[in-house]
Amino acid sequence: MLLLSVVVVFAAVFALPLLPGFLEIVRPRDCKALNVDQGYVRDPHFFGESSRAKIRSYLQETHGQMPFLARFLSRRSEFAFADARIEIKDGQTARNVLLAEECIVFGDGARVLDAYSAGTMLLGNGVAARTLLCDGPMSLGEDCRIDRWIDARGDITVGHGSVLGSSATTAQRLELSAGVRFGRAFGLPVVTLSGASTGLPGQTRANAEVVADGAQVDGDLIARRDLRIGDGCRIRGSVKAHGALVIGSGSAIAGNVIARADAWVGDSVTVGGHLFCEGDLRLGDGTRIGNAVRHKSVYCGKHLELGNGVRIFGWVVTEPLGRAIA
Amino acid sequence: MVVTILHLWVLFVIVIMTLYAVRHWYFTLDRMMMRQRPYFQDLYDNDLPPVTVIVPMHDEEAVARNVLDAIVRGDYPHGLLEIIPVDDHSGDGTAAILREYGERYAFVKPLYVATGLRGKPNALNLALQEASNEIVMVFDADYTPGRGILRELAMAFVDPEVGAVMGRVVPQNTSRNLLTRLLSLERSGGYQVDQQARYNLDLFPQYGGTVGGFRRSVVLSLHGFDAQMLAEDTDLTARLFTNGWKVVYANRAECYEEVPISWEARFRQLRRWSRGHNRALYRNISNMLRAPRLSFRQRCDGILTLAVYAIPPILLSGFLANMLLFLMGALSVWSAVALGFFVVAYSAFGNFGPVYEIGAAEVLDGARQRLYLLPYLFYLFLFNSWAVTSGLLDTLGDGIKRRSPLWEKTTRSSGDRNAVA
Repeated sequence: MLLLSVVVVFAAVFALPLLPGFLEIVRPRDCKALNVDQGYVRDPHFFGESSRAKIRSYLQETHGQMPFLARFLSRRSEFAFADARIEIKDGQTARNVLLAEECIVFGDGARVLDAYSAGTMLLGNGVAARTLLCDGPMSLGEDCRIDRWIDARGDITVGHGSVLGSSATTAQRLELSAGVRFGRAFGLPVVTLSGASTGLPGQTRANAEVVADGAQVDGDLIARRDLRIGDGCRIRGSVKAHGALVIGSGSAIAGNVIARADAWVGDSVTVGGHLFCEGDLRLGDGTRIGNAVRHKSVYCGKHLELGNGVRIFGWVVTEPLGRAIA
Repeated sequence: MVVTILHLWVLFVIVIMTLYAVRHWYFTLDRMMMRQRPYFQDLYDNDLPPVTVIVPMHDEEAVARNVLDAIVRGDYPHGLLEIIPVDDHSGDGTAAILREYGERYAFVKPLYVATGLRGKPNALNLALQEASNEIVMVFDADYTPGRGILRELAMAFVDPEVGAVMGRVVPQNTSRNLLTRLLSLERSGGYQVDQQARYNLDLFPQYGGTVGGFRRSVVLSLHGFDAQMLAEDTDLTARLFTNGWKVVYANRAECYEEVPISWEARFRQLRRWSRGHNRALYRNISNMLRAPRLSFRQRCDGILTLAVYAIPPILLSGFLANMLLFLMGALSVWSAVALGFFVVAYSAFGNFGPVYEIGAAEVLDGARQRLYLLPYLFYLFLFNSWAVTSGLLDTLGDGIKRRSPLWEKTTRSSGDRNAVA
């Protein structure tokens, strides 16, 4: 009897950790495959295009009856429509989703949730918005604040000190004034209008590999530690540094640039490929990445600073906010 | 003398098991708490490189259409795409399906192999001769690549040091039975935590050969795949690293696969992996130790990775050594303490290790209830040990008898797929 009791207790203790799993096997609550979005493709204009499609479908469903309530950006919102022009005066607040066929104008200090213009969009200084979408050009004044994203099919001009949220994308030119901060920016090109770079660091670490000023390298250049490329160098392949990277002014790199730590890119450097930096990244005045035909990207794992007159044909991505130097 | 040898062996086993336990623990901490190393998925490019996709197939009529349709549906420009499905000695309707796709799409160029060696390495070698592009992707026939995965994987090659890239494998037929659910847990731990941590720490992420790609010229310069090798992917990983190339892991490049649904099929799969892995270990270990371009950490992790299928038999031998010591009356206080450590280390490898990694992986994946199944992994570990030990014995047999292993295909569940969470 004692032996049987011991066996039963042992079996019970042994089986105890298996009990919750047994219940999960008998009545599965979490047995489906992990979700993999089979339709996912990387598209810088995803937010804009998916929102346009959603608004179009709402307009078709309601046959133009305004206002109407619908879910937009995970919130049920009221949509308000104007045939041509909507104007939100200085300091006014608009709590619905604004739709206009020709133009939306926001006065200084206006506050708005979401807005879509099939034409142009003009923002005064200090405007705050959640999302802005337009099919024509968009102009943001100084110190505007976007919580989520903006997307336009025409040029976007952004005034001094504005914050562009997680994403600012356009199929054309995106102009960033000094002090503008952003998460992701896509433009053809993304251009900085003012500011002045603080120049390159005077020295890299003592054991850095150095490429002399004016040197030409025909293949790829890979450094196991810090790498300093002198002024006016021509690299026909790609560059990779496992440490910090400094690229001297006026250098040209035909391929990609990969830096495992911080990178400083001097003035008037051209990079034909992508620029991928896992640390802080500073692009000097007049740096050019990609071109009108070959769209490339700049990725920065930490802090990104753009000097004056930087032109990036493609996507700029930073983990924290990037900044055009003030 | 015998007693001393047995004591030393037990000590050796304890050290090895503790090393693996610490490694699991460190990987989990790195994945959960440290800054994650970015992959190249955030790069956007309208100037993509042309790629060749190879899909080796042997009797795959149940799944051939699915994988080819998935690749064709992808967003990679068809003008830059070449697909080479390889019909490798199939006896079913695979060849007819490939012919149909070859006629329908100009960029699908089937390759029919009816003579000579059978097996994935040989099929890959033959396809590499036909491939016209430098970047080559490989998918197994039971995989379902998503629309954007080719682009995500191709971006890895912007890094001039990258020789190969591996994406994440996600089981699709998870809800089929207990085995598929446990395999799903294993896969999550292996990819979401183990592979990502090895990538974070610049160690030895593995090219798994099923959702990934490599540079054609590099693989050809390394004399292609060894047709006798059952783990050609692991062998390639080791050869890439020892020759100065990197393998990167793309955690967001996720692809569905079918895992075995029967214990018998899983046993055969593991046994084959073990046989191949151990052969890869034997072939590459001296190169790993001598390779000048590998850091000390990469060298250690590489050897631990290659040796992972030798561990269960080593563990078993440690138990046997302890038992012999006991029977010989030589299990002193020291040995008893050693045995205690041994049991702890055993748990760490066989039980806690997966708990660290799989638990962390499921938390990262947002799947909670399935964590209740973790204790069942102890029993899966015993099953795995048995299969892996059989594979090691096969490897030893191959070496002694100088025989060539035959490629054994994993049984498919006829395209069985389940709902997605």
